[in-house]
Order: sequence, then C-alpha cells, then structure tokens
Amino acid sequence: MNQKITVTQLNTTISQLISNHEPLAHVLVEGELSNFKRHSSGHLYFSLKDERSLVRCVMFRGQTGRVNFNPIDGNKVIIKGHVGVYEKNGSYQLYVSEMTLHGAGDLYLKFEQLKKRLALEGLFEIERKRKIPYLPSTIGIITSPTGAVIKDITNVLDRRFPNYNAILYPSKVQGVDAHKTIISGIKYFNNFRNVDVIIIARGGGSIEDLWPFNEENLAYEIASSSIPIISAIGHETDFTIADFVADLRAPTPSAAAELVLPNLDDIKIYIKEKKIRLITSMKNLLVKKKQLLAYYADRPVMKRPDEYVNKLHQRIDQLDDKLKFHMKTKINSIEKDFVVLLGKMQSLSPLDTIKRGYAVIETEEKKLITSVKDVSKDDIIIAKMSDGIIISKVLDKEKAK
Amino acid sequence: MKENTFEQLMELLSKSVSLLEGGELQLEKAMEEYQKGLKIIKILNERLETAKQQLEVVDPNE
Repeated sequence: MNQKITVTQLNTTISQLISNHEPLAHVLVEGELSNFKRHSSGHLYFSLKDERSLVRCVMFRGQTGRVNFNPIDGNKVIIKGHVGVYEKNGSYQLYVSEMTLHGAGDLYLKFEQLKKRLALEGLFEIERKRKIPYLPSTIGIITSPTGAVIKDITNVLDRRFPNYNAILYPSKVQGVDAHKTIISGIKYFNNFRNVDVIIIARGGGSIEDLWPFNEENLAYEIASSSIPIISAIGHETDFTIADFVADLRAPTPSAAAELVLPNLDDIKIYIKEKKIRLITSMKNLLVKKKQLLAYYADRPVMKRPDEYVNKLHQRIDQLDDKLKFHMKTKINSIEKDFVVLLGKMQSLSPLDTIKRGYAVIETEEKKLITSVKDVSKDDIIIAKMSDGIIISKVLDKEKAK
Repeated sequence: MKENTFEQLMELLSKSVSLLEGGELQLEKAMEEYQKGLKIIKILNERLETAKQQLEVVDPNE
C-alpha cells in the first residue's frame, strides 16, 4: 500500500479497470445535450446531463454520419457508446457511436410495436393480398395535388401509356390529420367504385414526415379496401406500415406508375406479333390440309377406281389359281402315298405267300401253329391252302437241329 | 368475350395461336379459332384506344 506510483500509472490502472468492465462497454444513455460543439476536425464534443449529473461525451467524425438531425443544446437524446478514460487529464467520458433524438426513438418503438401487432392480426399475409389488375381502365391516385409526386406519376404514365385514365383524390400527406384525408380517399374510391386500382403516394421524408402512413386506422382501411392498393411512400429504403398492408409496395411513386400500367408500345407489339402468328399458322394449316387432300386425290384408287377394282379381281383370280394348284398337288401326293402304302400292304398279306405254295397251319381250335412245340403226336392239324384245306394227323415230330 | 378482362383476352389469344400453330386442328375448328383470334385482337385494340380522359381531379368537399 505504501508503494508509490506515478500519475500515469494511476490513470492507466483506472483506464484498464473501466475498459475491462463489461457493463460499461455498451451503454445506452438518455439525457439532454449541453455545451454542444462541433470541432473543425468534424468531431463532436458535448455533455449529457439530467437534473443532477453531467457526463462528458465525444463523438468522432467517423460516427457522425448516421446522426439524422441537427443537434443543439437542450435536445433530449439517446446515445449509444462505451465509457473510457481520457488519461491525459484523468477524466472519464462517453465515446458515442450513435445518437438519436428521444422523440424519434419513441416513434421507432411505436412503429415496431404496431408492426408486430398488425402482423399477428394477419394484416400483412400474402394470402389476403389482392391481385393488381394487368390493365386497369382507371387508376385512383391518393396524394398531394401539389408537389413533385403527382407530376412524377403522370410523367411516367404519359410516357408508358399516353391514353390512361386516372382520378386524383387530393389528400394531405403530412401532419397530424393527413392519414384521415388518405382514409377518406380510400373510402371515396370504394364507394364510387370508379377505379380498378388505387395508388397511395408520397415523396421521401423523415420518420416524422412519413408518420401518417404508420397510423393504425389507415392500415385497417387499406386492409378492408375491396379495390387493390399500391403503396408508393418515400424512397426505396423507407418502409411504412401502409407498405406492409398494401397489396403491392412500389419503391417510389414513379415506380408505382411503372407497375400499374404496362408499356403501351410493348402491348401493341405483343398483339401484332400474335396476329402475325395467328394468320401465318392459319395459312400453314390450310396449306397442310390442301396437301393432304392432293395426296389422297393423287392415289390410284381415287384417280382410276375401275382399274383398282379390276386389279382386285385379278388378284382374286390369282389367288384362286394358286389355291387350286396347291389342292391338286396335295391330292396327287396323297394318291401317290396311297399306292405305295397299298403295295406295302399287299406284300405283307399272307394270301400272296399262300399262293406260292405255303400253308398256314392251325390246330383244331383254330390256333396258329408256329412251332413244333405247339403240337403233339396224334393231334389233328389243319393246313390252309389258297384253294382249300387239308386235314392231317401228326404222326411224329422232330425238332430242327 | 366483351366481359373478359384485357389480361384474360390476351391469354385467350395466346391459346388460339398455340392451337393453330400445333397444326393438328380439324379445318372447322381451325377456322373457328382463327376467327376468334381476330375478334380478340379487334377488341384488344379497341380497348387500348378508348381510354382518353387522362387525369381527373376529385373535389373531396363535394
């Protein structure tokens, strides 16, 4: 404890202590600006205070680009940053990375809450989005009658589809009751049903400027419209509640005009091309049918039907001849086979053999005798000759050696 | 056909063209599709020419 340290060592120790303390590495502090100074280097130096305390703050040039308002003393702000020690004069300060106006922070929070709630209610569901008609005969536009937005829209329409029909419902696009005039516009078009699609448009602006398009009542009105609605609010990067509920979000008012109507020239070219194809294909089809007809007409049967019939007759005759020939051949071959067979049968018949002086010898019981074993002494045997029989008695028998 | 939207008519036209280009239709059916196609083209062109009012402004206080 008694060991001496230098001032630098002290400040360094404190600096390390603070920078190693996690809760101080990311802080969100609310307070009022005072002693605000913008240095020629671009860095911002100021204090943040409340009723009882004050803290020094610095915001370096690299971070100041994201500050979307012009800070002055007295502004209620929320800053994001970390706590560090400026060792040179032994003071701690807030190193600011972001600074937003307190009110704006409220609006942002309100926006997020409403968005979450309406999403839960299903207002942003893709399924409930209505289809934007391809070629609306009349377009309803709700925006300020003065200013660049309506001019941007009509310029694009003039260029793309010069003979369009549009009805402008002049509304306020800024201020506390702006959303009411926009709601009236949606009601007007839904009552008269004189348009096929509605564009709600506004130019760019701050979150406060665009706030009417984040009003809950407007969101419900858009959701309940029976006419499809295109939102075209602010710049490409601006998103409002109306954009989420609308059936189609156009990034800008000019883009809405591009989306709502096709290019007239493109359609004309498209129709012309279809017409050419229609006529060409009809012609081709006719040519094809004619060719088919010509082909059939050219067939011999169509040209000389008699000849065809005669040819058929000729063919029948040919077939008949062929049939007869084959039948004849077949019969002849059967006859031949028969004669051969007959000859064979004749040669096998015993009658022929008998004619040549042989005899068939049987017992009295008409059993054929083929061996000496078949007879005994004194048996009567009958020899059948070609012209009669000889009845004899066996005197003796002798087996051949 | 008059009650169809522009987009529906464009689709019908495309269908007629495809059928004819297929080349398989009977002559009567082909003639029918061809006449239909020409009629659709006429209606489409008429619709493109009709709208001429441009921008009308509503008086919200009326």
